[in-house]
Formats: sequence, structure tokens, C-alpha cells
Amino acid sequence: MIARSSLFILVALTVAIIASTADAQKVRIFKKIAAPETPPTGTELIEEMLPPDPGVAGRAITDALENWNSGDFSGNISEDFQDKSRLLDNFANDVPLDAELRVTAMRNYRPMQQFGRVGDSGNVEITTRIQVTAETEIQFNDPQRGFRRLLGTNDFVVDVTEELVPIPN
Amino acid sequence: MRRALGIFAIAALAYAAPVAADITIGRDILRSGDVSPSSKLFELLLKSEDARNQLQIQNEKRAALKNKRFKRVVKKVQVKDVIKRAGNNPLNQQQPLNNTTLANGETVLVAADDLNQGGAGGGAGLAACIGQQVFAAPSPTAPPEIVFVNVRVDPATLDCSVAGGQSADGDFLIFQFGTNGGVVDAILVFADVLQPDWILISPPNRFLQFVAPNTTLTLTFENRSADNSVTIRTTVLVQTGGLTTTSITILNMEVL
Repeated sequence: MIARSSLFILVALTVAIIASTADAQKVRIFKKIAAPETPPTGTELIEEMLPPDPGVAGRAITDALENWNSGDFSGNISEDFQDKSRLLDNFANDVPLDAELRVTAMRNYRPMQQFGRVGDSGNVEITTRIQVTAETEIQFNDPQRGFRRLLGTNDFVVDVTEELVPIPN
Repeated sequence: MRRALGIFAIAALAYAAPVAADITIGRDILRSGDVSPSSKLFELLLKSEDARNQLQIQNEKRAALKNKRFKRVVKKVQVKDVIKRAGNNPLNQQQPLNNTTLANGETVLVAADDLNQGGAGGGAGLAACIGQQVFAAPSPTAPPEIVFVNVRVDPATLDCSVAGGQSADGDFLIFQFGTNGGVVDAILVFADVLQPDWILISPPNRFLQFVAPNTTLTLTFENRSADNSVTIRTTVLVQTGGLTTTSITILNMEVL
């Protein structure tokens, strides 16, 4: 009887060990550090995130950052951005007209939070807060120092808002 | 045989009775037409009907939604924050270009206590700057002279150093010696406008301060990082001895 119960415990432990090992061998899931961030007014937190396709979001973020070249990128800077008006003022004063920004690489795509609301059109709008590392290159001609090329690697925290447009059956 | 069957039936009922939650007794039928529309029962039946209809509508909607497809159209992309890693940050609020302040262009994250008192890097932190003095001794006969005071914290060792001189690289205080007929008559002290992080907070709402010869004045500045995550408060003592010699002593520096 004792031998049988020992065997049962042994089998149970083996199963438990195999199960835990199998779990550890899965793809590592990113666990974000809990940071209390209340959803923006009028939106609801979507706990089970469905983030946008990294390729699509990456292109959209690239386009938004490269709007820097047009000089009118106010719409791509959130109202929550620290010292937004100061950035726009200094940009207008300091950045030469021929300065051109290119996003040369993007990595570490990391959706952090997602909010949703019913938009003015009646469709659902979801906003995904994404942290992404982007490498940028700015080229311009400095009247005193000649051709300049400035490289930078920064983490951008970006809100990507998508509208869910129903497709007729 | 019949007796055995009876015992089995009784046993089966005894077993089933405590398990079953609802027992339907009889099959009588209630017609809604028999219920008076003004009765409570009619109202309850009406409520029940409404609830059933709502549920049916909800179920139908849910079933329809299960098979629906949506196109995800990106409407807006907005940058909320930038965390600097290396090199130039094109969205730097002060200088969208040339904002690489360190040689390797990396932001150094330091605990406030380490920056105040030094830490693992071996340096003494901002405490190393406290008590340091810079002297300026312009010639009364030379053209007006400008002296800069520079405070620098080594990102590797967290050692703080104060230097004075003519360099305009990373300075925060400017002393300009005004002359009248070849004689220094006043000293202007102001925060370097090229380093807009430094703000003179005491005396309040002042951009610059005239210091007359043979006087002593305490000035307090605050250096705020672009994202307001770090504020360093610096108090300096300006002592003008005679018409040519001025000393600036760092009385205190601390991360708030």
C-alpha cells in the first residue's frame, strides 16, 4: 500500500515538473512593469490587447516621425508631450529648412496599453500605446560647418489610433 | 420480482431527490388571456417578456458580431514621450539638432542620493562642488570682460567639478564686468541664456543681478531637465572685493 502511494506521488511530481518545464520553454512573454495610467477621458482600458500589426504600426510611426521634414508635425505630437510648444518654437527657430530626417531602423516594438471608445463616426476607435526604439538620421548643410549628419537612437512612446471600419458581408 | 422492482424504484427516488434542484409537479397551463392586464402577475409576465426579448436581441447581435470583419485603419499617430538612448533626439524640446550632450550620447540614469553624495562610481557627487570657489580678476583698464562659471558632473564617477574661465561650453553663470572710464563699476550676474535649463529663482523673477563692488549676494538657481524629472538647486555666494576681484562660492548643490 505504501509502495503504491509513493509511486503515485512520484508520478504526480514527474507530471508537475514536466508541465512547469514545458511552460518555461514557451516563447517568453513580455510582462510590462505595472504603471498606473488611467485611460484618457472618454475611453476605456482594453485589458486583453489586440495590438496592431508591427509592420503596419511601424510604417505609420515612421511616417509620423518623418513628418518632421514638413515642419508641421504638431499633429503628430501629443498634447501630453512635455513642453510641446517649446519644441515647436525651437524647431521653427533652429532647424534649417533643408534638414531631412529619415528613420533608418526600428526595433523593440512593445505594445504597452490599449484604450477604446466609440468614435464620432459610430465606429470603434482603439488607441494602442507602443514603445519602440527608432534609429534616426538627420542630414543638413550647416553654413559654417558644411554637411552635417546627426545620428540618434531613441525610445519613442507613441499612441497609434485605429478605426475599426466594418467590412460588409 | 415486482417487490424487487419497487425497492429499486424507491431507492432511485431517494437518491435522485436531493440531487435535483427543481422538480416539475404537474403540467398545468396558464394562458396569458386569463390574467387580468391590471394584475401584478401580468406586469411580471410583461417584464419577463421584455427581458427575454432583450436577451434574444443581445444573443442575435452577439451571433452576428461573431462573423463580422473589421478593417483596422490607422487614423492618427502621436508621439507621447521620448526616452533618449544615444545620439541626437530630433524631438528635443530645447535643441532639436545637436543635442548630444555627452560624448557617447547616452543618458545616464543616476539615483538622486548617488548624485547628491556620490555612489558606486567613486566620486563624491554634487557634494564635491560645495565650497568650491572661482575667482575672476579682470583688468580695470581692459575692455569689459566676461567670465563663465561651469559646473560639470562626470557621468562615470559622479564627481562634480567647478571651473571658471572664458569657455562657453556647458556653463551656467555669466559674470560681465561693466566699466566706466576704464574702471569696473558693476558686475552683472546672469544665467546663461544658451543653457535655458538654469533658472534664477532667488532673487525671484530676476534674469540678471547687478552686484556693486564690495558687496555680498546669495543667488539660487535651479536646473530643470527637459522632462522635469530632475531638478538641481544651486546656491552661490557672490563676493565682490574692491573693483577688480570677484569670487563665486558654491554654497550648496542638491537634487530636489
